[in-house]
Amino acid sequence: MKKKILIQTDNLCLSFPSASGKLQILNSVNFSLYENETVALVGPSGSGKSSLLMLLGGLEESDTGSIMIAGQDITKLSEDGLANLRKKTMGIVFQSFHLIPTITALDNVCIPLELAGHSNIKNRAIEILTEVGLGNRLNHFPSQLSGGEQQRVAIARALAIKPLIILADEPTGNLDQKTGSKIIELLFKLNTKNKSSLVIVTHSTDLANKCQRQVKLENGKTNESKR
Amino acid sequence: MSNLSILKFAFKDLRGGLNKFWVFFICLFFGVLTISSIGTFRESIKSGLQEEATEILGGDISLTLAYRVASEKELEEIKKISTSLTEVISFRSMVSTINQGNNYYQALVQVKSVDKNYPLAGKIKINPEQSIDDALKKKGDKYGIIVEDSLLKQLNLKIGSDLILGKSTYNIRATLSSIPDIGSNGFSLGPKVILNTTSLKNSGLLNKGTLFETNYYLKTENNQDLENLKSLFFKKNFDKGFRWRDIRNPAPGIEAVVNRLYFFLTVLGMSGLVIGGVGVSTSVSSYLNLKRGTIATLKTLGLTTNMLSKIYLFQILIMSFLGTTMGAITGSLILQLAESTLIKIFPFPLSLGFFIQPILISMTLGILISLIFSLIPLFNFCDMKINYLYRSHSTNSRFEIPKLKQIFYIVTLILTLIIIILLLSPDIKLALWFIFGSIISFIILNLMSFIIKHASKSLVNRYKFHKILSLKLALASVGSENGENKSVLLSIGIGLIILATMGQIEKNLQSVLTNDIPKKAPLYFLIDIQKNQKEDLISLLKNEKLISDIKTAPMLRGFITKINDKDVSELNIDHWALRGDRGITYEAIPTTAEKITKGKWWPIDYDGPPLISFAQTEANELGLKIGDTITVNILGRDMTGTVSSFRDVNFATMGINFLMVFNPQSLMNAPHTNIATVYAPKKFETKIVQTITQKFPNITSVSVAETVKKVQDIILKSSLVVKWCALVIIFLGFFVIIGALATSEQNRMFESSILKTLGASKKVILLSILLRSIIIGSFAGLVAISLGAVMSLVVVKYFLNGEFYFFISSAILVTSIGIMISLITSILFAIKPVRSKPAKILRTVD
Repeated sequence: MKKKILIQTDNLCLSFPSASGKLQILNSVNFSLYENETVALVGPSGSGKSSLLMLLGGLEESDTGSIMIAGQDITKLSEDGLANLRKKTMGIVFQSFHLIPTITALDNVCIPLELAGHSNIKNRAIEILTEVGLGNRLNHFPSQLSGGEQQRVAIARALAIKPLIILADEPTGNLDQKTGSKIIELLFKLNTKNKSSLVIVTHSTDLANKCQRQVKLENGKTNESKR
Repeated sequence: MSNLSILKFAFKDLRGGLNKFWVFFICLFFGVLTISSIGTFRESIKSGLQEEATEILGGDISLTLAYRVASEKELEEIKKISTSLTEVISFRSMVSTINQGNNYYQALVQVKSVDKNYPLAGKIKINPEQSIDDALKKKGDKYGIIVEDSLLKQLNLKIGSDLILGKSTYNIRATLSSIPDIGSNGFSLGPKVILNTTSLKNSGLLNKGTLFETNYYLKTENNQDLENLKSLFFKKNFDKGFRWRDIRNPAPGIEAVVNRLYFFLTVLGMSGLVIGGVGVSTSVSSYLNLKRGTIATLKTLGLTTNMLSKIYLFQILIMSFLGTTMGAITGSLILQLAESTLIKIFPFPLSLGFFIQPILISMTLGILISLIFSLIPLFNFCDMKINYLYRSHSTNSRFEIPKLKQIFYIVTLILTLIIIILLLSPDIKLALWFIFGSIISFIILNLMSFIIKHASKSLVNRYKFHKILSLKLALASVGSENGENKSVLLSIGIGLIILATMGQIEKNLQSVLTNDIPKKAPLYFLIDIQKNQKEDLISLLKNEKLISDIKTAPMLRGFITKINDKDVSELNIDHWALRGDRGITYEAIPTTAEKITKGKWWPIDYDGPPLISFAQTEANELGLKIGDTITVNILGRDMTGTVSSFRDVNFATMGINFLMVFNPQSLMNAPHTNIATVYAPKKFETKIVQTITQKFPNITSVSVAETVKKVQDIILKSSLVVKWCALVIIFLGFFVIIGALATSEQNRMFESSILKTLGASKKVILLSILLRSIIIGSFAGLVAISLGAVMSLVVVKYFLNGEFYFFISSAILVTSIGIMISLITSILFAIKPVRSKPAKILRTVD
């Protein structure tokens, strides 16, 4: 059975101005993501992996090209339109966790549920936090949690709405190997359970090998390989 | 590391973070500028008064007598100490226009009756220009009179018109533009008129017991020792009731007003500087946060906390010196630019210049405030553990408890500041009240910020807020450790407290003046009623059915010279009862309104040594006891009486109230007149004055409504000055908030970026930022209203002895200002977070 395409980019270009002129980050990148698929974005530092992920999440504006998500070109959407798309379809996990420091772990997880208009917000937030092993740390502030715990909250927050797409930018980059492995295990387990698609940026060969597909970025171009 | 090396490093290191000092600089600059300009203003007035001392005083020496002129013998004594002199008699009287059917007008005027030597010093300016002699001399059968322009408008007259004063008719020859001897002008109820003393002979005014004042302005030989002259004169005339002033202090009244105004404005300026201190503290924290990596590295290299403190203290001192110097000099120069406006507003001689004293005072206060507010963050960062300095990137620091030595430094600086404020104050009690009020306000505002933080934190966890995401985020932000609520509350809170307090006091006073007083106060005060006129006057007004009631009392005036045989100047008591002359009466039995609170009233036929019944509140304030003796100088004679009772006197009724009542036998034979209060419907106002003036031209009618209007005007003007100062303070607070928001802008950008990645719209983010500012602004307003209400209640109830009412309109205004300031600053700093691209912000954090 042919799988449904969730993301499809066409000739995506991205550049940044720099002191020595325009710095081309992505050059006509074509990328697809199918439903229930796990994809690793790999490549050397500065190859544009994180930039591509940001473009897919609508957090960055491309120079040219299109990004089709759920049948619409998100490059044409306004900022609020992009926000609307994210709250319904995406969960994003960052290397530096990016939790809101002024609220508790529970409140951090509640926010995407509130934005998406879920009912029974608190119960769902407690459920997913318990699932990531933080049932006893609900009312702790981010500063009171370890790095690993903060990343678990970030994963819970990303997966709380059971999104179609999960974008993860080096989620273990700031963690030790042991904690990192546990986090990845958790991420993949929940991804499978939720039947989401996962795009993960990583330098780790082990992690990349866990994914169904690897897309290598080099000199701003994609070079795809299947496992 | 030697001290020189530390200084060298401090200079080099400062280059990397100068931009973090802009709020620090602005706060000190404007705070010091305000204090410097207030000080320069006072020095300009003092210098102006000294430069024009002879003109202001009317001569080198002024001798004043109450209700009499000097005797021939006394004049001889006066001539002995002078080369020339002039006699000026001042009193209040009624003038009226010539009766022309219905067009018949009266007005209360302040008469200045002069001789041919006037003015002895300075120039009188009249329009059209002519000599004073010409303007006042008799032409045909009428003497001339010079009047203020406002009187012509009031009575619909012009130059050349005739005017009746007492029994005489005068011809208006000129209008008055300016006069010298302004140092003698007190609270004036009507326009001034100037006439020749010779013309008063047949006017029927200045009878025995009439209320007037005589000033003798004297010129002396050059370089006379004035103190020597004074003792020479008083050796022979010590008990004659002369009051002496000379060019060493030509206008003590003006100087006292200026000194009080200076202290009051300096106090408000200090409040502004304290708010600036909050900005200084925020800036230093922000700067040191930028330097935390450097501090950590220096620590790893072996620098001690002491060395580090020296480096950053030196940098802070450089910036403080720059900010305060520029502020102090600009504050002084700014007055030179505003010279023409200031001369128009203030009726004092101004001699603007560059005065070093206010510059040094304002700089000292600025540097002290800067150090007090910098030392806490400075010690905190220098004491921080290396691992915490390296690890945390928060814009706020973990608070380290200061060491005993550090607390000692801070307390010493605070005490130095308190001592300087006390030294600057003309009134220690007032200064202590200010210091106490400032400390309490500061503590309460800090406490409130703590309560708001914890209340918000607690509220955010309640389920009902989960459905309003923006409110929840706003509350979370207010409740966070990194929130700027403390800076905002402190910086706008103090300005709002002053505004709220003044607003409530002003509204209460206005309410008394416009509602309470008109209900119970008489319509007119009648003064200078001769003994033989009293019964006729009462009959006339009653027969004409113009009045509902009339009350009369004998009236003498005198000033307290001694208490328990001790000269009042040696008692060191600053009380209105001892300043100038006071009304005195005699009564056989107390009136129904008077209640004896202590002691005994004299028997109806008492004929022993003089006894006095004194007002209870004032007696308490002066520390008087039953049995104390009071010496009062009445018409040049000292009379000593014993306090036999205290009475409850409510001066706020504006009826006939006396500070001192004597037993009849002691005063009834002294020359005196009567005073009366007339109670009548307002519609008879004009008719009453017309009737009295036509039949008794020597009786002066003082309208209570006019007096109230004058008082209202003074209250409005004073309140306006304070409100402007409060607005300047709030303006300074505005900068402090901007500084605090600029410091935490990175946090807000980060937070909004995360929210955007989670799908929050711009509206949700903007709303959360605005709600946050509304919450903080409302609390600042509410705290200000509560503290303002307590402070104004204390002032109204205990200082002004009035009933306190809370005025909601003023409270709403204060809260609205709080919310508006918080909102405006918030909107300014909401643009970037709302517009920011999340990828860019999050990448910098990664």
